[in-house]
Amino acid sequence: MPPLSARPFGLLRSGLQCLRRTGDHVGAREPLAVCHLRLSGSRERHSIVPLAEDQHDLQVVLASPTAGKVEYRTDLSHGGYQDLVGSTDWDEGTVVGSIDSPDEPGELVALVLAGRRGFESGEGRGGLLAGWHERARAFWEGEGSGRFGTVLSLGTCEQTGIFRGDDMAFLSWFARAPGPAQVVAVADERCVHSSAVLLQHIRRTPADALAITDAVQGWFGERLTGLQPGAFPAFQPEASRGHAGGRWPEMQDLLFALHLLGHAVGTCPILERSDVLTRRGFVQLEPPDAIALSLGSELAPHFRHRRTGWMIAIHGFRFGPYIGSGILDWLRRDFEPVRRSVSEIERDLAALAEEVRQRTGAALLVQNLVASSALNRVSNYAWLGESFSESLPVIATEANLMLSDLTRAPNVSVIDSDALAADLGVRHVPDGAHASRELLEAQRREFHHVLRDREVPGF
Amino acid sequence: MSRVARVIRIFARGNTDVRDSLLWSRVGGVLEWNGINEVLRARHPGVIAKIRHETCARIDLIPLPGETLPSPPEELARRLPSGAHPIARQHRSALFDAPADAVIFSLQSAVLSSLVRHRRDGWLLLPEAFDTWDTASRSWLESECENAGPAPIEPTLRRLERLIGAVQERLGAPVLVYNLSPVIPGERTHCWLGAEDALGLRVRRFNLGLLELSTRHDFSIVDVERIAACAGAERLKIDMVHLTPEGLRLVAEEVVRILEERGCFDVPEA
Repeated sequence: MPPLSARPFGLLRSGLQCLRRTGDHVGAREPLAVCHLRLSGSRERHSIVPLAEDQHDLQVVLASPTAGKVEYRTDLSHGGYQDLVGSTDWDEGTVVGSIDSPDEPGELVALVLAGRRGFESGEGRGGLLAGWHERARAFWEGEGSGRFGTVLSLGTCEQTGIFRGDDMAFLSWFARAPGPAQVVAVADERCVHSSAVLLQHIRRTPADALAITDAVQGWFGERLTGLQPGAFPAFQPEASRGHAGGRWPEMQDLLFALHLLGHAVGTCPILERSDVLTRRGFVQLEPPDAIALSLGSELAPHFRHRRTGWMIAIHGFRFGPYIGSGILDWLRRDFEPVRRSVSEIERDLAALAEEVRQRTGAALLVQNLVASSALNRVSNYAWLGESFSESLPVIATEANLMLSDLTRAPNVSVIDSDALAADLGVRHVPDGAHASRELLEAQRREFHHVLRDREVPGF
Repeated sequence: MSRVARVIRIFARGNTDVRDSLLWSRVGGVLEWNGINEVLRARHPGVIAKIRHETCARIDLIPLPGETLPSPPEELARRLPSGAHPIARQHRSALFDAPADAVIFSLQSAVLSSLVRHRRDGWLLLPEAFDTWDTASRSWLESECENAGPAPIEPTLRRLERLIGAVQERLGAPVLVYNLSPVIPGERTHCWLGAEDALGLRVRRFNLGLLELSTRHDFSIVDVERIAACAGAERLKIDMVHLTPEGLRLVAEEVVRILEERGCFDVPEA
């Protein structure tokens, strides 16, 4: 077991769950086992509690430093909740197995996974980073000794595959970046991180936050006033003899509005510091060195609150299946839809780049759009008439060109997903957004290349 | 009794992309792709395409009907070296001399060709393979001409617009224009600072301008960008302009598809 410390707090671990079998051949940095972590000690005596927001979903993945055939000790797993909740002291130096390798075997390499739950009591323990987290991250010291470099992913779903990977646990980054490094992914299920949304967030004042809170509170009051018993599934006619739908539908609307509020008045992820565990104790890291964004976020439907100016962006596909009619009615009544032209997106992105440069010095790595499509086999666009300028191939091409121009700013790089998809063939991204494993790996390689080019430590 | 073939007359003015896909592609003496008639043999037996092909120094050097573009004197055209772009023919075209069933242009020359301008007389010239010119010819060019640079996008597209209009008016033939794939296999740029005129960006701008032009005029884009992207530029592209035999076949098939859409293979009623 490698050294790992949360000093001045204690560190407890659960039983170890093996990720491979005895006799398997594993590669260097390939995960062998995982356990859950918990901090112990008095929280009253310390003003700062490390990893306070991630403490319920904290895991360590242990990987082999060398390639070889692995043999596990047999008593590592305790089963049940003993493998899901930390209960015994972190035991540096304990032998968990052996590896038959031509290289000198060393201590295991630790990858720490930390998930900040959207709803703290919402238990979802199980696999690697299981459950819904509004922020998920992975950090590892590796063999490095310098400062941690951090990359933050704020893009849409296409970046989940790139950063969290098939395993959702950032293992593909752990395998390639020597460390010390941290990768953070902030979910866009609540609000999409477009440049307009982020710019407002990073510039938000206490007065703005109070005004938004007031707006949400007012709407909440309306929703919860004058309810009749029939509004609750449990008391609808015939419900006393059984009912197929047990959940109170209103709750989803209220929760979504609360999440929007929580997102708006919480710290902007671009400015957020983060705690990491190291061999010598916990360390608080500065805000991210690089921020991965996506032009896809800019195309999500945007809404501006009429009274407060509060800007939100929500993926169109969420309306209906995920977001109920109550939110839609609220958007129609209290918000106005915002249509942003490519030049307005350019203005917002440029302003965001400058704001970020001044505040933290981070680089923006912006993924462009896959403009080519196997579906658009069109040789003349006259039939589109005036809607030509709003058609997707045109907007995508214009936006990509705009982004190329924006890279004149010292802290903006483009991740040319369009060219990567064209290289491999757009069959690798049939819907224009969700890439195949092969294309995701090409995009990941490109992100890594740019991070190294920009000398982000640990990558 | 042998069946007489129906002939589709295609006038094509363009360079590597147009010639390789429509006529043939030969590499190291080996025929890699045998042109559009390979596609027609399978899809339209009994129809053959007769291609009249001219190389294109640049789109803005194709004269409109009745127009005479300023050009180098004949003596100079004979004296200066030239290869695939004979100097005497750079400012002329047989485009409007004979009927055609379809006319094909390409953006390639507009994107790639950099011309020189005669300082005194103002004519433009593509000094093809200038590096291989003899010393006397190079000295003459350097003393008499100045760099006119690559084609500006907007004026070039306006010129193309006029050309398309003239073809439709004079020949009544459908016009097809090849765009370009901006992808150079293996090349990755994440910061365009100081490279605003890079080829990849220039191609994208021209392609976008061509799309916009197609909303106002009834011509067809042979979307080489989409074709390369669909199958994968790694597989279809050798470099910026050269396609693999598979890529050439796909482009030729797209030309045939568009000609079908345009009714070029419809049999006239007796």
